[in-house]
Amino acid sequence: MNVSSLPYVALVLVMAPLYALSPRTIRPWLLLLVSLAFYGSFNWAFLPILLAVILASWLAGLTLDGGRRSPWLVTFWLLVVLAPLLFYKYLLFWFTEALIGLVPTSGLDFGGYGAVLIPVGLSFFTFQGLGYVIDIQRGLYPPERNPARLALFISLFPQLLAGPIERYPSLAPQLRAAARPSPDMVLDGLVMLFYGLFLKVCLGDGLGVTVDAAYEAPDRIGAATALVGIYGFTFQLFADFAGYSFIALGAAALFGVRLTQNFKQPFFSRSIVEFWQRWHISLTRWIGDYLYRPLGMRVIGVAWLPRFWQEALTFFIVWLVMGLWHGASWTFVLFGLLQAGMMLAYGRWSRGRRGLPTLVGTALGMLLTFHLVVLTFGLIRAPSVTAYGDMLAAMLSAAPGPVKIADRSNMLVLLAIVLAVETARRFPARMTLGNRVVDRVPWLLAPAAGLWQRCLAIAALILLVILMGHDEGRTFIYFRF
Amino acid sequence: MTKAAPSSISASRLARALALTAALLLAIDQGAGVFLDYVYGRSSKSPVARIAMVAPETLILGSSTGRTAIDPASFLPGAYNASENGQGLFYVASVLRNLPDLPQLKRVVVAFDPAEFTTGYRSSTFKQLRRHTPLARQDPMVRDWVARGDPWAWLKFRSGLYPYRGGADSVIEGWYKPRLNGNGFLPLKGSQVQEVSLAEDRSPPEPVLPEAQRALDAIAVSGRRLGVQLIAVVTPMAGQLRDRSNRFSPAMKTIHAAFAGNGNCDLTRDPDSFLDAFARRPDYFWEGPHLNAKGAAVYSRWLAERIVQSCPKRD
Repeated sequence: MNVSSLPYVALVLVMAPLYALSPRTIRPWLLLLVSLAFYGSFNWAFLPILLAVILASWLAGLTLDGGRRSPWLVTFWLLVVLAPLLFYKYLLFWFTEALIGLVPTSGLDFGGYGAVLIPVGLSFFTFQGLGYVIDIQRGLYPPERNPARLALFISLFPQLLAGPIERYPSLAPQLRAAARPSPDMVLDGLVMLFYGLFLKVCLGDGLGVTVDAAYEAPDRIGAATALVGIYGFTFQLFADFAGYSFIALGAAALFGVRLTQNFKQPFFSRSIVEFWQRWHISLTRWIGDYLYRPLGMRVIGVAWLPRFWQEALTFFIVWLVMGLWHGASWTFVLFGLLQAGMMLAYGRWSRGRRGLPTLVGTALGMLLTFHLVVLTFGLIRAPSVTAYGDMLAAMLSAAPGPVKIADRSNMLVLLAIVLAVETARRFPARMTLGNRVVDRVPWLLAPAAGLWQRCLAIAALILLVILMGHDEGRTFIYFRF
Repeated sequence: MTKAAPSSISASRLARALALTAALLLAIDQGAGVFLDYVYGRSSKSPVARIAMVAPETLILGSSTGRTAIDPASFLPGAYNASENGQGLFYVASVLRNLPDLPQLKRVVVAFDPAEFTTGYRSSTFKQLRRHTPLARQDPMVRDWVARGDPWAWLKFRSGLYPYRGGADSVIEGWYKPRLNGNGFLPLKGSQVQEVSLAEDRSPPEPVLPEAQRALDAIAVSGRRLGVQLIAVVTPMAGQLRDRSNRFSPAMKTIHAAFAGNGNCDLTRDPDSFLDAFARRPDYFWEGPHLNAKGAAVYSRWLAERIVQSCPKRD
């Protein structure tokens, strides 16, 4: 069941009131049942994989609790939880077609990306389970004794497929409480659900047509097509992934669950470091807590290594892992290394600089960050490093050629709407302009917005989705990872 | 039961507001749908409305091959080419089923691609019928095609706006600024074909699919309803004689069966072997199945003569 489809919206809008009206003791069971059935709707053969990750996490939690923390045991359980992910991401493509036919694989069509075998959501729910196991091993909280509760934490359907990757202490208590959503939460949930749908089916899927055409033959396109392809993909990726995240936040809110906000206007970042604090926030935090900091502590222990090289080594290892998480491909390796290089360069440049940045400095920082992000994000889309090089070469070549933008006028209107909404959300509700204190119109996604403002926003978003959405139902890009 | 978190609004107020929002949405959707239906019926974006605006005596329908092959300027007087790029058999059937009675319309030339009869729903043109979703509002057969494989179509087509998704602006633009595309012909300049040799087709015959038969029957029935003469043609292709192809022989027989009789005319066969020589001329083709302007002028004149000779006017 595609998350941006009418059946999914119907599922959420039918199940949420049922959930709220059912007795509290029933609610977690109902949510678990819906979550497992939802995952099974992709391919029933995937369910055992999800259940295996849940079971492994539960057993690992119980085993690693209570002082039995030998490094071998910890490594063993981490590998058990990670096994399906490692198998699908890094081992399966060595297999012959006959062997691949023996395991359940994704039949999702990603258009222009080639065949993807990994079961949808595997990365995300594995990370969620892994985070839980590491926390137990660190003694941060006691393990969950009830496997059904842990199953719900790992498989909660709104965030099961592509995050946000939640932490046990923030999500599990909400699931245990099984509280009804407040009217405010319902309203915010609906706004987020339809804003996410709008981003995905209107903007993301619309841009996808143009981007796919540009990346089809990067060695035979003009400068304008390459420019539109590279910049268009970054907006497509944002609309696609942030769209999914908003749908997840909105759907969860309708079941009384608040999830982590995964995107905070990333294109308004003043530096690459800030960008990664605003883009795919839950993964960045996860990597920070479970990889960057532990690794950094170890590298600091290497006394003979100068400070700069300690930092560089940590960055490069972490970003190499981030790159390889996207897939076993040189494009992702290069993507990771470029991010590490940029962050390291920014760290060196900003060291010792104090004081608030000027308005010009802020604007320049935003512009530079945006363009660097766009240029490196091309690696996520390009099928090979050569193709990426061709795109860059075409963009810089000034070679003539017609540029085809599918649905050009609609795309510009939609981009303008998203830019307006994201700009409004980026700046504080109360600002000082000259001598006056100005209250920004609290509009979309602002809990402070009035009832009717939010109802109007919902109505406008639904109308836009009906009138400007794409019907083809493109699969979310991050389902590949 | 767990209490809900404190909220700035009450549940009953929220319920009333959401009910009112839903009612407002429904009213806008249905109201805008009625408006767009009205506009679509008068917009040049609609092939049906465009044909009614031009009121031709001879109408040409088909895909891009028909659009680039038959030049009304070198054809019969009062001709209009309403073929569309990317469309085909199902488009022709959809347009003819929805065309109102036009007193001046005497004949409809249908440019067939025999390959569509063997690929049916798998043909690339079938999917592109979605561009004409508004036609599906009133026509169950077109809706059946456009919404094929979508179990939620029953709900989507209750929406007034849904059929216009992604195209409402161009429908409105075609209403206040109609574009009839001249006589509809698309002239292509130059040639990308270097040399041509006629290849012998040894592939086995491919059966006609039921959906293609259904579309062909719909065309024949619409022709009778409109009281027009239907003329079947297969436009030339560089290096291929599709009318004599072994692979398409079942498709050609089906077209012949549907178009021979009832005052209709089957010109898919070429008794004087004009197309043999034509298909060997690289300078007549822009590329494979598409003629250039030079080839189109020659072909259109020949076809016009054949119609005059072989397709007597109906009483």
